[in-house]
Amino acid sequence: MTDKKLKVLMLGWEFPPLLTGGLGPACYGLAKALSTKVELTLIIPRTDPTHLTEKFNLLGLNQVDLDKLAQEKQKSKKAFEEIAKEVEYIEATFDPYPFELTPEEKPQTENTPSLLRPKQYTISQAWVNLDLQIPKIPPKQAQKYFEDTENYGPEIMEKVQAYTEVVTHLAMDKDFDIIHAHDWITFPAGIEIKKRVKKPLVVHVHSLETDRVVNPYARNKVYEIEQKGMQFADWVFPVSHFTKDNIVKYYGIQPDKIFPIHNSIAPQKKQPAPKNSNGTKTVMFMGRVTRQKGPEFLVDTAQRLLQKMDNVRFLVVGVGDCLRETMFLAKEKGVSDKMQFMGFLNREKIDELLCGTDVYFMPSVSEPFGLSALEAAQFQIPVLLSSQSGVSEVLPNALKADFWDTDKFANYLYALLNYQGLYQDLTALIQQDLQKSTWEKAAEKVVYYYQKLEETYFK
Amino acid sequence: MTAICFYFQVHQPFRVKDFRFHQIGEDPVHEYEALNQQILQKVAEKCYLPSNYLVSQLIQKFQNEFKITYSFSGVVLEQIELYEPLLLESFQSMVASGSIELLSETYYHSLSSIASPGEFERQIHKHRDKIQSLFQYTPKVFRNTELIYNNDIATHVNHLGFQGILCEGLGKYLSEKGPNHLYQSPTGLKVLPRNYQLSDDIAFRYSSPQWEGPTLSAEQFIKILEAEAEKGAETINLYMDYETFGEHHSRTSGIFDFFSKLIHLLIEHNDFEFRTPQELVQSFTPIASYDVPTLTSWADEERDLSAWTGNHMQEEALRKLYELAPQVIATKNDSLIESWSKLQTSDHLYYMSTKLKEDGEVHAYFRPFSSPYDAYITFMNIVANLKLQVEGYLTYKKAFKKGFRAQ
Repeated sequence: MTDKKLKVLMLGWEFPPLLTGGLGPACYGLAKALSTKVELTLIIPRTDPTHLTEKFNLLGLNQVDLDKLAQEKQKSKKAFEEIAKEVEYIEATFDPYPFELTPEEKPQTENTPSLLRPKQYTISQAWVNLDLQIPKIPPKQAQKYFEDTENYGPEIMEKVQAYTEVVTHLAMDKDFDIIHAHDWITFPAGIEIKKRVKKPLVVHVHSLETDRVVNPYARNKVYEIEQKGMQFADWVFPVSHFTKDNIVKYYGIQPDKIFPIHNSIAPQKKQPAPKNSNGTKTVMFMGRVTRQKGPEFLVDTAQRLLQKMDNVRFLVVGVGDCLRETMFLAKEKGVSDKMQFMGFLNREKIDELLCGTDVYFMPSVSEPFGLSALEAAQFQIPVLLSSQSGVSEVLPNALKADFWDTDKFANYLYALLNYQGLYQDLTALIQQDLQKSTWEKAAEKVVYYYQKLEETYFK
Repeated sequence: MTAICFYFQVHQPFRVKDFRFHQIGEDPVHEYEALNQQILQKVAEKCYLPSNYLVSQLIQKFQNEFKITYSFSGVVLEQIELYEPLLLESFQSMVASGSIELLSETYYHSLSSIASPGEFERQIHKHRDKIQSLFQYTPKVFRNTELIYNNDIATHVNHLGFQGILCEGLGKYLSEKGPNHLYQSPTGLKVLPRNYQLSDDIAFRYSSPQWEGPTLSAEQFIKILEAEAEKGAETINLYMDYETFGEHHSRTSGIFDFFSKLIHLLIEHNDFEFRTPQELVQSFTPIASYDVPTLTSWADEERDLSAWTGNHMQEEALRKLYELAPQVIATKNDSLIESWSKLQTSDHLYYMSTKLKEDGEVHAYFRPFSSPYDAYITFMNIVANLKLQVEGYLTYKKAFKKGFRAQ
């Protein structure tokens, strides 16, 4: 047990550099830290071949050219082997693949990839169990899903199904001890694999549907998948105690199998330039402009603050379905001249803005973690968070208030922007907080739980 | 004979209310009256009243053989007058018995000794007047806020005509004979160092697991005192908060019985007698010079000023408050001067400490805010508010005078 490295099959969805939220970086950070401690294989819907990965096998399904595989197989074994060299274990997973089909299951024409045709195998059972009314995927469509640069989008359910089916087949031939699935999109695959190979399943919860729709009583397909995944899982790793509490409260999962693993952040290489303390102060809000992130509380706080001080501007970085509403609200409250909506920005631009930011403000209504607060803290920026956030658990030296308490938020902003002593102490102390929470520690914790699970599972 | 000198500090600050930035320039009231009343009454019920009862009984029983010393801040006396008048009567009758010595200190329990010499003197005089009016008593020995001490403070106190001063007995400044003797400052003021080991055995470690029984027992403590006496101790100075009895250590811990038993055993003992600071400075000869160039105090592990000036917030708060001094004094307005003075109480700065570990826990125990940041922000908002009040008042006064002249 001690010498042997555990083999872990990790199922992810977002992965750098294609990101829509915190899931990608968190997944990457954890996988990287884990890669020295366990034998890790990671399966994700797509990878950018130019993005170098480190010590773990990263298999992007978009790199598995399904069409080509199917066709080439028909033509010559040699051609297939060439492809197999590119993607290491395809050859080994030959059997579960649909191009090894019984005669009646053979593609109608040679050009039709039959990979995901429901008739061909019965993986879709997972969906039947979950009672999900999802249209079956047209064959040509599957490849497209994996190549889509939009991680979610309206066809998300179909993408998830495609992912589930392919991944399950890939997994059948892999050697692993534990399945580790990140967020609901990979839960069906996790469940399906667990059913087949009888290996323990760990699900990692980066966010919950109840957070995203800002309704603790949300009951929809996604909620059902999340609940099912957590019920099926042997252990659940939420990203915070805050999320654990929500899982217990709103999903009815037993608390003694839930172990919070806090996210972390890789140390920042470049040192931010010192800010000039004179002139206009900058408060930054970054993230999807959705109800979950509490943009209306941002506007309300701004209005309160601007009644007492003038030399401050609010930057809103990000887009989302509440963007227009927030803009209107800002106009209505008479703060639109002090609030700049920057839209979606790339990393470089964000870093540049962070260099000139005085306070990072996150009034989220329900934030499972909130990785962007750690990013801001790396830029020596004091952060103001809602108490309803997981990141506040690792930043004891961040200022916190309940998301609805805009008067308190404004009071904190006023103090941060006017009282130098607070600013100095907080920026220094928050660096200490950052140093205390590392991916290394998170990975150690994860491995500890893996081992405990392994010990109990095969008794 | 070894002298035993017990001194108890009685102090409660005027705590301030949650003062938000939008109240700056709008709200003249800073105090959280309900909380102050509630805490004073709670502490009176748990500590002051039962302790006074016990001490009164001991005084009655042993007459002049039993003597102890108190120091009251002016702000706690104000609160006692307001919220617990019976408690004041109890203290008055104890002082009238003659077995009690009272010490001098700054009225507002402030850090004025390090921030403003003029303010320091003003508060000492204000405190003297208060003690005289309530107890018909004039203190002769001085103790500074939280035993803050260095050579300069000793010199200043000497100039003010005091016979002696109390301070923390720090090994590196004491002679090899230790704290159990009378010392003298370089400028000739008698110095009574605190035996912090033994004082904290009662004040902090009374219920700690290090003792044979569940708590420290009177018999055990007598043995410790005997050991000190054998080593030639002239006086063992035990200084602590009065709240040690019943508040920091609850009644159920047996702290009252411990104290009562200890006093009985000491009275019966042939080697010990009770002495007060004034008696000590008059009867003993200083054995050495107590030369302290840096600031020391009885607080926290460091026993320096870091409990009140240990971070940027505290430094800024202290600076901002005392920057207002000339303007506030210039108003000659009692109410504004009073508001400003109450903010000088050291507790406000103490709440802003960001220390961790054991000391951090002690700071948090006393803090009426959820974090040091809240304590600081509230304080800074109030100082900003006071500044506006003072400026407004001065402008008004000037305009009034001008108008008066024009007529």
